[in-house]
Amino acid sequence: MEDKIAVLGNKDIVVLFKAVGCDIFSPAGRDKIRATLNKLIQNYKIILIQTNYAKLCEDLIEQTRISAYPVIVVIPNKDEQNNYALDKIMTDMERAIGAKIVVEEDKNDR
Amino acid sequence: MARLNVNPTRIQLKTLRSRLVVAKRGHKMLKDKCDELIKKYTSLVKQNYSLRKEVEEKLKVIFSSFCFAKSYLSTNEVMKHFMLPTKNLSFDLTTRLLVNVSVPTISTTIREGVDSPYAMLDSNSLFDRPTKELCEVMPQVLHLAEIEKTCQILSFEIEHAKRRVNALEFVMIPQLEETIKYITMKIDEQERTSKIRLLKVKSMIE
Repeated sequence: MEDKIAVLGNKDIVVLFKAVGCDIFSPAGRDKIRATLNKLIQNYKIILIQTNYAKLCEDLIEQTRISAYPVIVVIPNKDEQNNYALDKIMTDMERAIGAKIVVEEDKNDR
Repeated sequence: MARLNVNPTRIQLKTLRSRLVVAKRGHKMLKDKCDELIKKYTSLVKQNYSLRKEVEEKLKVIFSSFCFAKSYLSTNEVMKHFMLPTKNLSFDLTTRLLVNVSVPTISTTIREGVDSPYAMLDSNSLFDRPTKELCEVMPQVLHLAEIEKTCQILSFEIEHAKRRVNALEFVMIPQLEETIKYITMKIDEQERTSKIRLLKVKSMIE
C-alpha cells in the first residue's frame, strides 16, 4: 500500500488536489468507478471520494468499515446541499447506541 | 427458557457450574467494555460531527472559488498547470489500541515547495486562493479521516459487544441456570429414592 492520498471524483474538482501531491482519478460510468475504487482500496491507505461517486460504491465502502486501513473519506460536491456524510454518521450512531445524540443537541442549539 | 440437552449427572453439574461462572464473568467484562466503548464513541462522534460540518463548509467554498478561477482557462490548460505538484503531504500512518480495538492514527506535515505549481504569467491569480486554502485545510481533512474511521470502527465494535452481552444475559446464563437447577433436582430425587429404597429394605430385613 502506498502512503499517498488518492482522490476519486469529478475531473473539474479533483485536479485541485494535485496541487497538494494527491493522486487523482476521475473515471466515468458506474462500472469503471467501482473498478477504480476496488483497485484504490488495495493500493492506497487514504482515499478521498466525492459524494456522487460514494453513492455508487456504498457496498465497497461498507466492506472497509471494520479494518483500520484504508480510510475512505467522503468529500462534498461543489454545489451539493444534501448531507450525505452527516447522515451516515447519524445512521452509524443510531445502530451503535440507539439514539441520535448530536442531532438532538444541534436542535437544542438552534 | 429451554434447558440444555445434557445427562443429569454430577460431572455435568460440575462442568455446567464452571461454565456459568465463566459466562457471568465474561458478561460483566463485556458489559464494562461496551460501556467504555460507548463513552469514548459518544465524545468522538460529537467531535466528528462538528469537524465534518466545518471541513465540508470550507471545501465547498474552495471548490466554488476554484471553479470560478477555472472558468477563465480550458480544462487541458488547468490540468497542465497542476500536473507537477510543488507541495507534498507527508504523513505517518500507524494504528493504536483503543479499548483493545485497533484504530488508525494519522500525523500530517506539509512539505513546502515553490509557492505555486503554475507559472504566474501563464495562469490567473484566482487560482492562488483555492490552492492556498486547500493546503491549509488538508491537515483538517486527514484529522477528520482519522476520527471518522475511529467512529466507524467503534460503532461496529459496540454493535458486536452489545449482541454478545445480550446473548449471554438473555440466552446463555438463563439456560445454564435452568439446566443446573434441573440436574440438582434430578440428583436430589435420585438420592431420596435410594434412601427410601434402603429404608424399605432395612424394614423388610427386620
